[in-house]
Amino acid sequence: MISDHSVVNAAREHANAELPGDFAMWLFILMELTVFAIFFISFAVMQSLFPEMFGAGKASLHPVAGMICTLALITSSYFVAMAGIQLKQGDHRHCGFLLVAALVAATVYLVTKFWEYSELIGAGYDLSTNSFYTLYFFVTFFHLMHVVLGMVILGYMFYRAWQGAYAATDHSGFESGASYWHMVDLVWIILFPIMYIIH
Amino acid sequence: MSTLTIKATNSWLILNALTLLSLAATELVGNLSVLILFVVLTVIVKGQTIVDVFMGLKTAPVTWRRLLLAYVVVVPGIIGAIMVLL
Repeated sequence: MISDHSVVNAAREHANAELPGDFAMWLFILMELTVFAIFFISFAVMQSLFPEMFGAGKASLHPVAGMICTLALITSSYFVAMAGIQLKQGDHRHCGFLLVAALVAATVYLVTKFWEYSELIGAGYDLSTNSFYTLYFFVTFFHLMHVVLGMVILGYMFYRAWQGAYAATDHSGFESGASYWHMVDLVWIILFPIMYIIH
Repeated sequence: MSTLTIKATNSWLILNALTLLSLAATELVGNLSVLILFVVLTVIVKGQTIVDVFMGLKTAPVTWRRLLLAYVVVVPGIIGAIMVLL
C-alpha cells in the first residue's frame, strides 16, 4: 500500500523536476525534430510510390558505412552523457577529456560520411540522378550540417569545461549543448534504418 | 563506478547491440513486413534509451518526457506503417 508520505514525496519530486538546459533550446530541439520527421515521412511515402527506384538506390549505399556512422554517433553521445556526470561530480578535467573523446567519435562519423559521398559521386550518382538520390543527399547532408554545428558547440563546451567555468550544481549551458548533441544522435537513430536497413 | 555511470554504460552497450542486431536482421529476416516491424521496435527502444538516459528526461517535467517519447514512437510507427501498407 502506498503511504501518504510517499505520495507527498513523489508529488514534491515531480514539482521540483527541471528540464536539463535552457527552455529555448528545447523549443529549438522540438522544431528540428519536426522538420526531420517531415523529411522521414516524405522519404517513406516516396519509397512506397517508387519501390524499384528506391530499392536500387539503397543497394548502392554502404550499410557498413551506415553502421560505423551509427556506432560513432552513439559513442559520441555516450561520452557527452559521461562528461555531464563528471561535471556534476565537480571533475572539470575528466569532463574535458570526455568531450574530446566525443569530438573524436564525431570525426569518425564525418570521415565515414564523406567517404561514402565520394564513393557515390565517383560512381556517377548525385543530387540530380533521381528522386532517391535527391532525398538521400539532401536529408543526410542536412543532418551532417547539424553534426558540424554540434561539434562546434561541443568544442565550446570543452573550452568552458577546461576553464572550470561550469559549476557542479549549475551548468545549464552545458546541458543545453549536450541536449542538442543527443538530438542529433536521436535523429540519426531513425535515419539509419530508413536509408540503410529497410529495402 | 556511480549508478549514473553504470546506467549510461549499459545504455551505450544496448544501443550498440541493437544497431548490430538490426543490421544482421537484413540478412536473417526474409519477410519485409517482419523486418520493418523488428526495425521499428529497435528504433523505439533506442530512442527511449536516448531520451531517458542520455538526455536525462527520466527526471524532467513529465510533459516534456512524454513529448519526446511520443516522438520516438509515433514517427517510426508512421514510417513503418507507410512502408508496409502503401
